[in-house]
Amino acid sequence: MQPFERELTALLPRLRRFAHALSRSPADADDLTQATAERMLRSRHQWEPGTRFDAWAFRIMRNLWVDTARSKARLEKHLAPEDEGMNIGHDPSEQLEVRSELVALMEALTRLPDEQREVIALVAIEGLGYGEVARLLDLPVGTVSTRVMRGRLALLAMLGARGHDR
Amino acid sequence: MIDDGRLIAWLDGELGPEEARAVAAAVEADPDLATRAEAHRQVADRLRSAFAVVLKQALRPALTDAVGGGAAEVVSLDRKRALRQPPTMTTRRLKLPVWARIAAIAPLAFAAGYVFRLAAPDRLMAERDGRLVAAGGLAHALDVQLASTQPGSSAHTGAIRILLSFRARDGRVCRSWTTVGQAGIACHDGPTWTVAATAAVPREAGQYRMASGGDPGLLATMDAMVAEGPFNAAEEACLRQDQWRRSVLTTMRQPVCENRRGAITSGPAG
Repeated sequence: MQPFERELTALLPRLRRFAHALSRSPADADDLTQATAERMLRSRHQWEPGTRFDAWAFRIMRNLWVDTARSKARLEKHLAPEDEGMNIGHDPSEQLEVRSELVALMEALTRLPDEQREVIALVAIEGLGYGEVARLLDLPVGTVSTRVMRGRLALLAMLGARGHDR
Repeated sequence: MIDDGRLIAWLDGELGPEEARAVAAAVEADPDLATRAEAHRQVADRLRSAFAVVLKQALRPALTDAVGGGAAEVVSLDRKRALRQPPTMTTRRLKLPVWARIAAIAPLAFAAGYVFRLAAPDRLMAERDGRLVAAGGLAHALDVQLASTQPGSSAHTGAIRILLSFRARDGRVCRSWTTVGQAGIACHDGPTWTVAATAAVPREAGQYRMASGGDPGLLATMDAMVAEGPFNAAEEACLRQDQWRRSVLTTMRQPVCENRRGAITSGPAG
């Protein structure tokens, strides 16, 4: 494999995770990952060696999401949520439980406004710093921190009660 | 009074050391604030652990085919390699002074704490916001190269070699590096690496020659900086996966492969 393919291969699991944080369903997330990988391969000459490969990849994914998945999500907003049963077939029970926790949290993220969802995905799930996110999204750091704060507060309101029950 | 913005920025590890200490003290003194912080942490933990599941799932064949076919194999090999680290390494590592490892590698002429403005025709460093940061090949090497798996000393001239990685007292992950004619220490600050110190290395000495006694300057600088480390191969791989970010216990961020590290440190030697 070429170095570019190697870097991309190593990054695929994280790209898929970011896609899950943005998407409404695991199937959409895989489609977004696929589209991103294909776009990266086509645009490989645009990547400058020595710059952050993952930041470049996240930016491509995020832009694809804005262009396609996000508008699709708006259209589907009033349809029934993704059927969680679709993965029951082959997963062992523990896996299933974790899986539906993932689906539940994906569902919570979809209830955030898009501009909060993307910063939460990058900060809370991908672990980027506010400054990195600001650079990636071409936003002032102050805007990023405000959106992170609102997103985290909204998530706490949605998920916090259950957390306390445990 | 700590508002939500500051509390969350603190939990995200985004405050400077002084402000972070102030918030930490406030949280300690105020049970309501502590409850709020804990609630945020729980949500953050849920998010992180739920989405971590995705990292372990098999990739669908269309995706690996698109990229070149070897994706699943490469990923699992990396994981196996990391798990294969012997459990004794951590114990041994803690007892080994940092300077002993760097001293074995490069003789360094250096003035402690002083950053030389290097004439850098190869653009290994650049100035950004008044800081000297790694650029070009150096930035890339710091981002991706692991001390344990990089090309040996026979690599082509001009290659950058990472010597070791450690966590500094201020929480940043720092890495020392050497190339023909120079060596240095750079610490991860957000997306860039701030050059903390550099030193000229006599070319005739050879890049990787054993040193009889390393220059006290750079060694002393590093010794004064180190809080934890040097990291072993598995830890380096984890840190790279987590983009070399600092991981302070009070923040919501933990290394993404903390379980792997746990597996290593909880071996029979621990």
